[in-house]
Order: sequence, then structure tokens, then C-alpha cells
Amino acid sequence: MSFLSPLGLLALASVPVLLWLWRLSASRRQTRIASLVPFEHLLKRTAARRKRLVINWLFWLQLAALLAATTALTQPQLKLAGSRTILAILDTSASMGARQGLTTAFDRAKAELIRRIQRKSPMDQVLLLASAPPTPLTAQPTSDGILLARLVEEQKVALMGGHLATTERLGRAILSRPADEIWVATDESRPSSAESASVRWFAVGQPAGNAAIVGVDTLGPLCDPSDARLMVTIQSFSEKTAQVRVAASQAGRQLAQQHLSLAGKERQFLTLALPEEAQGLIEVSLSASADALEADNHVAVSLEPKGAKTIAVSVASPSMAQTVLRWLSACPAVTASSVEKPPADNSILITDDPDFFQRASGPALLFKAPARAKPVAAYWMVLAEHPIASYLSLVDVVAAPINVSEQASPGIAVLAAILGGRKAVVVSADESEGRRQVFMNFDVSGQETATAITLIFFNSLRWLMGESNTRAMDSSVADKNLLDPLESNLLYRPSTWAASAMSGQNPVAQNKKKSRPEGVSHPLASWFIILIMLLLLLEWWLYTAKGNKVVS
Amino acid sequence: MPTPNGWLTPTLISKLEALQLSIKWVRAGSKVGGRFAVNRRGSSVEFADHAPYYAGDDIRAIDWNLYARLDRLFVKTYREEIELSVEVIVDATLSMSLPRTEKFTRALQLAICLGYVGLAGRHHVRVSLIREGDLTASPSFHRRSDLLRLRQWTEKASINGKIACTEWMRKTVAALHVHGGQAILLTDGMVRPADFFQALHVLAQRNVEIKVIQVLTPQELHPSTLATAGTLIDAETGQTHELAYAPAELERAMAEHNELLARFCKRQGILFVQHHLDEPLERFLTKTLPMRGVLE
Repeated sequence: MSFLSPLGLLALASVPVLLWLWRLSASRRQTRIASLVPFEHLLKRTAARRKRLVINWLFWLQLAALLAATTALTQPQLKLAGSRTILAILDTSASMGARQGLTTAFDRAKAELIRRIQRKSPMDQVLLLASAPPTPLTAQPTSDGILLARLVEEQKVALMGGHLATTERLGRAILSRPADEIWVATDESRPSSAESASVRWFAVGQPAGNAAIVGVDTLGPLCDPSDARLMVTIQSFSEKTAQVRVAASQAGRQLAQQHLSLAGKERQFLTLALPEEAQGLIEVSLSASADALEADNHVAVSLEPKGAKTIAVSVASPSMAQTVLRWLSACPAVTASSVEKPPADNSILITDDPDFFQRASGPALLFKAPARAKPVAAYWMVLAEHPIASYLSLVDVVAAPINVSEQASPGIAVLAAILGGRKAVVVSADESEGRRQVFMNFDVSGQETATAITLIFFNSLRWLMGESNTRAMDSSVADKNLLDPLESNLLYRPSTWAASAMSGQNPVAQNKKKSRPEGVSHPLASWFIILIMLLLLLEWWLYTAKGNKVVS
Repeated sequence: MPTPNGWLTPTLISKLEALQLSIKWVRAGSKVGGRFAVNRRGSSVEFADHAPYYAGDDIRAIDWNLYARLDRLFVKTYREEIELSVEVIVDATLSMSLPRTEKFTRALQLAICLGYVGLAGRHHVRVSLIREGDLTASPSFHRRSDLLRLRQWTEKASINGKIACTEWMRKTVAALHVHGGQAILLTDGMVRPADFFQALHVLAQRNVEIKVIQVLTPQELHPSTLATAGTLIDAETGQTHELAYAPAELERAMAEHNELLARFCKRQGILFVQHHLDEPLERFLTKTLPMRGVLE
């Protein structure tokens, strides 16, 4: 037995105090008797100071309670050889919800873990952790198999990615030392870094085809209230072509749907037109013929009511201003007005003044027209999949004055023009500062009828009007899944287990060093506290049941 | 001190009626052999036995029929119906309430029972209490039906203060005109032996046949159970003393004190019986006292 807190032995100083208290109590006790006459000849001789302490079993009870309390303070630990400390990691990431047949990978993982717990030695202690997010399910290692099985059974799949190495490091930090054995129940394949006799890898995942919603955006009505649309990006994580249906519904009522064929590993971008009155929480769902994971098939989008949008125009160039106003006049849902200073509200600002652009608080579009308004015919390329590039050809010939001297604008380069062998970004979009911004490095003067430029302008306007507010169906964190579809890829599961999880040591050499597991320490302090409670109960019973006779 | 109700059952009363106070034998018409004069009040006699004739015996007592048959002279002896004055004296000093008040309660119960035995034997019974203050003595009871009055009077008895036994005895025997008869002293004996002996001597001088019953609790027999440490306080005198003796010493001292009282009584021809509270009252009355000669 070892003591975690040997200083607790100082509490033994209370034993002499107990003895002194008993002596004091005994010496102060007064007893009335019938007569001292029978003891007169004794009284005549000098009473020798009593050397022997007169005690009874009440004293022994109190002494036992003091010793038990002292022992509990020293936090004794009993090391039992032959028992092990096991670190059990249950992968609760979103990919574990992949269904194959009647069961999911998570069900199989839980069943395997419970089976291992039931078969373990009664002395083995297990520290149980979940990986998404990395969380200890038991505060400290325990050998209670029933508790462990219940905790495993209660776990549910999280709508987020998990990291097994981080979870293992967390477990090691709690244990303050490496575990004798590590159990990992996951859908990831066993990596080479886990080739160790002390790591039991329970791979419950199987490659399966999956289709997922990987992005959703809303486009509010622009010119016509019926223009409200949902921009949905879907991706196939399968080798085969799948027939996919994407639908938008609200309160059980279907608003829009689209059927399409999604080739293997293809990503597609589609729009769903919404009814004019559609607003509030819209549910977007995907159903595919080969789809193992359900968690990435649903997203909720909040569509805020859009009234007539106010657009403030402050373009110094008369020709550009005329073109812009002509475009805007074609949209009855838009109220455009010329302003001399940046709007203080959330109106969309269209300007060619950089200072105005910076001071605006709402979405804004900045024209960076070249000094010389000479149109140049060039190939314009779509550089990124962005709503601004909707309906544009990947490569198109566009003639417009382009500002090639301008430095790169922040954000995503959406369109670029090839000029003299060089690529010049003509449209970029940014929302890193919390508001949407579009930068156009060309002159739109006289381009009212140019299809590509008109499309670019209205796509930009629509994007500036829209908001990206999506969330998962059950309000847990799903943005990660939409942005980082690692959990959706069930064909190839990259391992989140690292060799550093084994403290950088050679696991083989480490196993050779340990021929038998070290003993597990069992804390005994709680048992001594229970003993103290029992002694106090017994003392109380003796006092009340036997009365003052206990004292004498 | 009220006695607990329900202890004086009809069964116990019927057993008491079968008992009688033991009295020293005397021959009819003679005082030979008797050390104490008996207070004769009755007039009827009954034949008891024959005894050989010796010179000096009353020739009127010679049984001539027996002489005719056996050709030897025998005199008749008679059992006289003697009416005694029985004084039941109960120690009611403070010492009788310690270590438990049951000691005094038992003493009162013994007084009632022995008093009833006396009433059943048509003796005159009076109960008095040794206590501080004025003399506390009951009226003289004579009939069996006086049991209720005896009990009622006794139940009102209470403990009060302390008093030297000798002083009380002198005052009492003079006030009550005690002469002859029997005296049954119920006490715990927690008095100075000299005082105790003198008190008995005062009674003896009055030609009283004395019987002493010492009532003790089991704790008094084993004083180490009363206290193991601390200070002892004499309930009557208030004297204190630090307890620093071994249990064996205490027990030996108590035993020696009781032995001293018993030896004195034996030397003086006084019946001395110890009664422990853990002995049932009925058993003590019906078996122990007859065995020791207090009752028959």
C-alpha cells in the first residue's frame, strides 16, 4: 500500500489529544454515592495519582475513528498486481452514423466496446472517452463494468468531426501516464502508427457510397419577388453515379425540388426557386440512391423577409452611373437612389469612391474603372465556384475597359481576364469583414445590354442582398461538416491517429520492456471514510440505546 | 416516596399470610432459657409438647396419664399466643436514594410486607422512619385489614436529610415507649459502625428482639461500577474525595464494612440479612428470610 499524501500522518497528533481529553473528563467527573464511610480507611492514605487511564469501548471506538480519519487523510492506495489501466476511445464523429444494412457503424462500435468491457478482468480499470468532441466520459478510471457499459450505450453520434489522437492525448493527460492498453472503436482503418500490441483497433467502418449537401446559400428576390432562390452545392463521395433529389420544404410543405444525376465524386451546384412568400426556416434535404450517411443530407436555412431593397448609388462617373441606374430601374423590387454620402443603414452601396466604400456599414460594390475607358476584348474566365459566376460560361469573350493596374482586391477572385498572356482579376468577392463586398475592376459604362456584364452585375447584386445563414437540422454544429466534408467521405477515411499518440516512443520496444502490466492503484480513502461513518453510527447508537451507562 | 403500584399482588399477600415472624421459644410458665422477656398480653394457651420433669418444675404441669403409662414423670409445655409489638424501622436518610432510588423503594416494600406478616400474626405493627426532623412514625396497626392503611402511610414516606442513628434511636424509643417486642431495621448500613452498634445497643437495652435487613444495590457491592475516576461525593455529608484506587481495593473496603456490621450483629445475637435488589422481593420474603430465621 502506498500513501499519496503522507503528511496526513500528522493527524496522529490527535491521539494524545484524545487521551488527554479522556483523562480530563475522568478527573472532572463527579459521582454522588451513598456514603464514603465504607472507604474511610482508604481515604486516610494519600491517593496515588492514577497512572492507568480508565477507558471503555467508547474510547476504542473514538480511537478507531481517529485512526481511520488519519489513514483517509494520507490517501492510501492499494496496488494490485496483474490489473491494467485501459484507455477506451469511442469514435462519435458524424461518419459513424453511416448505415450498412440494419446497423450503423456506431452501433457496431458500441457493441464491440461493450463486449470488451464485459470480458475484461474485474481488476482492470477503464478510462472511457468520446472523440467528437474529445470528452472523458468517466472522471477517472473505473472497474465498474456496468457503469462503463451504460455510458457506452448512452452515447450518440455527434454532428461533427472527431480526432482520435487528440482524444488519446486527453486520456493520457487524465491518467498522468501512458495506459497499459488502448482500445479504439472507430470507422477509420487501422493506421500503421497504431501497429502496437497495446493498441486494440476495432475498425467497424466499411467503404460506402455517400452523397452530401456541402454548401447552401440563399438568394433573396432581386428584381422580381419570385426570384428567391436557394443555391445548394452537393457532392458525391461515391464511385458510382447516383440519382439525387434535392428538395426545399417548410413545416412539412415542399416548396421546391430538383432531380439530377450525380456522377461519382462529382460536385454540383444547383438552385431551387422558392415561392414568393417563402420566408423563415427552410429545410433543404437530399436523398440519393446510394447514400450511407444521413447526417449530411439535411440543412436548415433561414430566409429573412425581404422588403424592397434600398440601393444607394454614388458613382462619380456619369456614364457608369447612368448604366447602373438603368439596370436598377428594371427591377421593381429595388429602390435605388443617388446619395452623396455612405448610407448609415444596411442599404447596399454601389460606388466608385474607395472612401465611401470603406465607410459604408452594409454590403457594397466598388467599381475600380480604369482611367482610360477603352474597351478591350479579352477572354474572361470563371475562377471560382461562386454565386457571382452563376450562369456565366467558364470562358467567354467580353469587351470592356479593364483596370489591370489595380492591386489584387481582398477575397475570392471570381472572374479574371486574360490580357497579353497575363491574368487580371476583374471581379472578386469578400465577406471576411462581416459584410459582403464585391470589387469590379472594369468600366460598365454603356454595357447595359452586354449579357455577361449584366449577369455579373445582377449576380453580384443578388449575392450582396443574400445572407449565408445555415444550420443543421437539430441545431448542433454542422457548419464544420458543410465546410469540411471529411466525415462525409466514407470511401476513404483519413486517419486521425498519430504516432505521437504513443508519446513518440517505439511502441514495439515499449511493449518489449513491459513483460507484464504494472499494478493498478485502488484508492482506499473512501473505504476509510465509510468506516468512520459506521463507527460514528455505532457510537451514536450506543449513546442513545444504552444511555449514560456508556460513559461509565 | 410512592411505591410502584401493582407489586402487592393477591398471590404475594396470600404467601405473606402463610408466614409469621420468628420468635424465640419459651416454656409455658417459665422463663428458663429465654434471654428476653416476652410481652404477654393474651390469655389462651395451647398444648405444645412434653418435657422430662426436673426438680423445681410446677407439679401442676405433670402429665399424670403419661406417668401411669410410662412410669416416668413428664411435664406439659404450652405454646402461648403471644402478641408482640413489632417496630419496623426504615432508614430514610439521603444514602438510601443512591445510587438508585429503587433502594428506598424496596425498603418500603419490605416494610409493608413484613408489617403485614406481623398483622397476620395478630401483632401490633408500627412503622417509623429514620430521618432528619420530627419523629415520623405511623399509628399502631393491629388487624389484617389495616394493610391498606399501612400501605397508604408507607407510600407517603420520603427521604430527608441525614441524622445520626444513635441520636434518632434514643429519641424514638423514648417517644414511642418502646419496650420488648421486635424491631426490624431496614437500612443500607452506610453509617459509621460505631454509630450503628450504639443504635442497636439502645434497642437491645429495651429488651427488643432485633432483626437487621441490609438493603443494597448491586453497584454498591461492586463500587468500581459506580465510578472509575473523578471525584466521589458523600450524599449525606457532602465530603468529597478523589477516586484513585483500584477497583479491587474499593470492593474489598465495601465488603469489609458489611462484614463488620454482620459480625457485630452475630455476636449480639441479632439476625442480620443482606438483601440485594437483583433478588426478587417475593423470593426474598418466602425463601431467604425463612431460611435465615427472620420469618417462619
